[in-house]
Amino acid sequence: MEGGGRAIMNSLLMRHACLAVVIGIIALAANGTTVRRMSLEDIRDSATAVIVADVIDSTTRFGATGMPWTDYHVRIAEILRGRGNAGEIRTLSFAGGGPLDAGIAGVPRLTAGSRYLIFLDDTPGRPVPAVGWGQGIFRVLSDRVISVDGAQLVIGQDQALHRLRDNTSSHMGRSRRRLAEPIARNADGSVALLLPRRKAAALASSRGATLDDLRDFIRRTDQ
Amino acid sequence: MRLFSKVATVLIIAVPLLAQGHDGSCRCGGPPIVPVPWEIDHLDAPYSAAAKEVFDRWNAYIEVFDYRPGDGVMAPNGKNEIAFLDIATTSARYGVNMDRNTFAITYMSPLSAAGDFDACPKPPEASCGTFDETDVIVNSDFSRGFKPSGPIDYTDHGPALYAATVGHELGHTLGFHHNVNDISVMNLYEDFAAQYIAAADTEEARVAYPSRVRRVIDLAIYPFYFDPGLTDYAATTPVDVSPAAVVPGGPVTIRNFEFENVGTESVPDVLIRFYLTRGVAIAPSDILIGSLAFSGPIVSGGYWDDDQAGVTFNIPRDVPLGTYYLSAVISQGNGTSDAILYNNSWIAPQQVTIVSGIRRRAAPRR
Repeated sequence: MEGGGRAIMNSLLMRHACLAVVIGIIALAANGTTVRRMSLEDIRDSATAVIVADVIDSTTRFGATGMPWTDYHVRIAEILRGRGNAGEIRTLSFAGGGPLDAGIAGVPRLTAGSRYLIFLDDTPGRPVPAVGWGQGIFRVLSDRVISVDGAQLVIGQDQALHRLRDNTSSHMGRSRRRLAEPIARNADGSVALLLPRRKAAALASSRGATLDDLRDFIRRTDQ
Repeated sequence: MRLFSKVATVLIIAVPLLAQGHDGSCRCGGPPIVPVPWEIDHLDAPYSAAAKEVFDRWNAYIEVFDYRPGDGVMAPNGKNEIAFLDIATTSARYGVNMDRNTFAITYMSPLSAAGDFDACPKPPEASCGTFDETDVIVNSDFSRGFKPSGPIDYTDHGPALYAATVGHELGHTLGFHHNVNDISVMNLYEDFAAQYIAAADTEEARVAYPSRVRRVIDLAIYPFYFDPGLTDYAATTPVDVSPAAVVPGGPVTIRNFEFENVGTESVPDVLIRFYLTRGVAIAPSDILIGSLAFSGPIVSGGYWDDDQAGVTFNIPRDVPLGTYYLSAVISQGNGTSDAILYNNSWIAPQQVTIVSGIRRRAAPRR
């Protein structure tokens, strides 16, 4: 290889090497990190701004350290907290993506054409511009709002907002078998009282939460 | 520079070579050999002992960790290591900026071996491989701090229990992903629940590392109820004892607890005994107040929960007055306890005061 070609190759290799190191290091942090799981109230109260936005498209770029970023261009549909106007275009940057097809575990991806409710964390350099990584991003559907990790948002009988597991993705119970009820005895051998099991979970009759429910939920602290 | 090139090479070639493991499990990736060598780089004895205990918890079910004391310096160096590092040192050595809300991180090289997903079960298209290096970095700047051992903090506001965080991170080094659907050390909930390597974990581990499986009897009793319909912290409700004061012979109700057969073996029956306990540790002098007896066989993975309903026992009439904790101990029906001790008992956070049964005479009506 000629000197010039070798220099270019070395430069490319070095660039890829540096990128790979950065990608690897940041990615591993995302995957193995133990971050406190946040309640819906914590997410709401921690957000610097809350927006409803439609994803237009996305582009990728390299950051100053060689880290690839995906910039989502979104059109603001509604601002529930913070400054701005409906209709304006904003860019939300998520770590990862780019021509090396570098993915970062734990960083959610948005879909062009979809609407999201986002509890923003505007601290510079965050891999995800939302509270608690993906915990602060919710997909807005026509009749309900769901978490990007698949959890359902519901309004329970207590009229409060709850997060429910998506039962269709259950992994539970490949060999878990619930046992029959035990015999309960007091210390003297007499029969103790095993209390009757609940007839049904209180949330069983809940309904899916809508964007209006989320608006009320957010306003509760902003008033 | 040599390090950069090596890591780059590994990352670039890892993806095409390591497409495997489409088994519908929660696991993707793992060490290239088992048992996998580890170095414990904690500089103080209590945390070194705590680390050994967590390694041994996993090893009790699958013998996969071969640990020894390290040189006290953890870094990306091709060795599997565990230690405390502060935020600045972690940034300098690993290029990762933790914050004070981060308990710990697990360095993985190459990350692609773990698959690009965060879910359970694993997506069918996930590609998995092997890790050249995994380091568990426990954040010494974590806002709540840590404790190497000690009683369960049911409020989840005090120092974090080291075993809960590290047990979870070691699960990642074995290729386990988060599992919010089950009672699991890989779930994302409070320490009083997260400290337990549960049946969902051991079942997964036995499938992943069949040659390292240990045949073991292990009954585990948990001081919480897990609601499979809820997620995160809302899914767990810690054990509750009421009322706070009761006369001898009076009723006390215990709710929010469950047990699992975490071992490989069936047992013929199970006995859970409940005691009044003077101190914060279970002692032979504890006073039995009642029991739950389950008829078997109790197969591996068998479980029972109280569905937050609970059980009511009558306090024995000869109990000395005073204030007690309430504890639970699980064993086989004949009273035989298994050798994995940490999950054989718990002490509830509430205290019960046994008060005199003599009531004051009501004031005469006028």
